[in-house]
Amino acid sequence: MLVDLISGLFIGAGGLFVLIGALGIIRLPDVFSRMQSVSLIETVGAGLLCMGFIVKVGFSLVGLKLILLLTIIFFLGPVVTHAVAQAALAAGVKPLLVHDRRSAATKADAQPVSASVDKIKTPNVKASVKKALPKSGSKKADI
Amino acid sequence: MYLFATIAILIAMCCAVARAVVGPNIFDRMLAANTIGSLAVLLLVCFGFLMGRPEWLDIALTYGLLNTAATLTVLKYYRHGDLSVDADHEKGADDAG
Repeated sequence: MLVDLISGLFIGAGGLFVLIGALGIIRLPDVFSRMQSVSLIETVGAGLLCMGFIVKVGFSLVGLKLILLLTIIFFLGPVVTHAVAQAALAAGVKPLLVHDRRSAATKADAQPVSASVDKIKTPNVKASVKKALPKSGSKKADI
Repeated sequence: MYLFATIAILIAMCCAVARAVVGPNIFDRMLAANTIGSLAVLLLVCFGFLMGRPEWLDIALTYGLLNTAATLTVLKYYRHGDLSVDADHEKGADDAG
């Protein structure tokens, strides 16, 4: 009974964190800020879900497989996110929310390039589903 | 509670698919594809427990490893334009002489 309660709490919290991360994927404005909510899903959401299932099954072969799966997701998810960030920076995608707090003198340098920012802004979902597909072809050739 | 987690994962997968269709960059699409893969692993685990068949964890393990390898491969292709490039050698070419 207690085991069911604890594992239910863990699994419910994990589902909640997955939902919050999905909201972030839709709502956040930039690829670099969307990465944050993706890593929320991959570390906290997956961690809590797998922890709930581990509590449920106890020490067994299934529990060992769950620990292995948790290790894989927990360590390889941030690796992939880091690779996406590095590839996006190398391809010239500017972070939308760049803000240099080191000094006021370098403030002019820290302003994002306006031309590329307009392209990256969150599109209206209804309007740009059909528009985004041909645009991606030219963008791919660009990179 | 298994049902709630399964439905939450399905809703999150719908959001990731919408982002993969809409996303302006190729990197948005890659991030969304990787998210869909990770959520598919979690969905396999949840659905296996929901149906009372935890043997599906083997499929989930294989899928997780394949997902990471596929994403890293596509990202390497988009970064260097070539899959056989040696990034470390390229960077330290001057030091190595």
